[in-house]
Amino acid sequence: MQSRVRKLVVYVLAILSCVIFLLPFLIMITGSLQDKYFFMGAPSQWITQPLTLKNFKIILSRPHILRWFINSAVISIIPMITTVYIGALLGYIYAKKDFVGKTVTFWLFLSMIMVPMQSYVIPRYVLFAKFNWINTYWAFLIPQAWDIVYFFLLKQYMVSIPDSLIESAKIDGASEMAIFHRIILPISKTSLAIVAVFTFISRWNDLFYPLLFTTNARMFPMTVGLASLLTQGGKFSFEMAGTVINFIPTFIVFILMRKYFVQGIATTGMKN
Amino acid sequence: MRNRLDKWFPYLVVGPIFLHFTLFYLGPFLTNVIMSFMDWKVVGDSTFVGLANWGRLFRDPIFWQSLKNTVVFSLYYVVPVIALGLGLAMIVNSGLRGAPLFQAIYFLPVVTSFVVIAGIWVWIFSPEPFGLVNQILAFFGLKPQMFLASRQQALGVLAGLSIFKVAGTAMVYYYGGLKDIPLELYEAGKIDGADGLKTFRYITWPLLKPTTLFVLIFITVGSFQVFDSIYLLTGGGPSNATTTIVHQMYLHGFVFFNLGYAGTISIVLMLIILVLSMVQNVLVKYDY
Repeated sequence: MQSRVRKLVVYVLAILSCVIFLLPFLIMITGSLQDKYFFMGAPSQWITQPLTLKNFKIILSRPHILRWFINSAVISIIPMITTVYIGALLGYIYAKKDFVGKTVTFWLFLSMIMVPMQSYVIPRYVLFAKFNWINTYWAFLIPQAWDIVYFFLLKQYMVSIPDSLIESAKIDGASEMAIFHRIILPISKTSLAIVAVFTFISRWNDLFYPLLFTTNARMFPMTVGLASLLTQGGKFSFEMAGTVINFIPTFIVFILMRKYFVQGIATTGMKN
Repeated sequence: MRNRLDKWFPYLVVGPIFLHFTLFYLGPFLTNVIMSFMDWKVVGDSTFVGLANWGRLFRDPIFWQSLKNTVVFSLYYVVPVIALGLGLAMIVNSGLRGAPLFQAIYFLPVVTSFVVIAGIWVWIFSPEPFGLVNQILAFFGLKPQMFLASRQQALGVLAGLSIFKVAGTAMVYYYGGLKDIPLELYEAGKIDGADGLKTFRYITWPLLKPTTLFVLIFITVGSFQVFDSIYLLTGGGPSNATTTIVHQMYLHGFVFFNLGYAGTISIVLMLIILVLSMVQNVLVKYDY
């Protein structure tokens, strides 16, 4: 009897929190599909108003919107690929190889994890201004080609790969790069997927960094472009259509790769 | 030939990456430290000014206001994230049907951009009578509130946004922590006649201590870097009531172009984060 009551309480709490967590997303979707400046009057109006795709038509005809989407894709997909590849290669070397300077360089990498991005972004800005890299993809693709945290994560995993696998491949005459491509990468698939999804999401959603390094509206990613719409203040349903467009890619990645998010957080967390 | 290249394999990879690291991470950071002692110009000669930036920092009332705002934001934010994260993890871990779906829904805001959530938040907390929260307040016979336009309420509303966005991360950590508690302990508790509350007080909560410690430091560090929601929703206002450390650094560095002063603020931020991670290390070491 008591356990049945408890079960009921858990279900009620679970569903209630689901409603609260989903409500903002429902507001976003219904808002984007209706024609209004702001929701007026009683909440019942949300449901009774006719639905329309007008907002999406208007927003897609606006200058730059498609360009913003492409910019976001470029500065999240390319760093995703290079972060995974370089992180794996570097992780493999630090996990399995010995070389002069290994300890020193490792501790230097480690020490920079403590330093927040804000504490080196200004000199980087000055440097990129000299390179003429402001408002170019280089300001993103070059410095974000790899990531120290994900390198550590991959190194941590690769320590657990048995040496015998590498040794037997070496006896068969495989070169180092062949071993990396044919043995190390395939068995690290799960870790690589974790790094890939986290890199993609954090780059796609990033606001601070692109806000500093793009000043030309053509070079904005979605986040900065939408921020420029939001901070101007505009029609609510129109803004919501923009946020839906920004939200869809992350939502798709999340649905397809859900298990890697949960696993990724679990593994990055406690081992640091 | 192939073997000779293989001998140099680690150097061929680590060399260029270390160069990259020096040019884009380590070098800029060290430059930033030096910058805090200089009047740094984007164009033209930079001059050494000793402790001038640091002196200015100590006399700058807006900097102190931003530090205070950041700490208040942190206080509003940290405890609810822990409570909500643990609560949601216990729901997901309670063996209810559809647990993975519930977990996914609670985690959804984590993968959603601040820009998306901020756009929605602005309407939920609209100061107009038709704002969602104001409508709910009206239903209970309460007056409409100003929310983001109020000096007293704005930080709380911003903290609410971050709580909503981050609770799912705390949930996943706690979920992992709960999974690690051996079931026999609960069995033993049941035999000793412990009820739900006592089980939580004497078994669950103490055994989750390492998780709590980790989540605590992790989200406190995050809270000191709060920027996105402030930039998007208040711009630091009303009258500096919501400006934070990173927001001040942004304004001085990228709006007023006081690079040396902005660099000094960012060093303060780094020192705070360094102290927080040292506290964590000490607590872990002495098994608090």
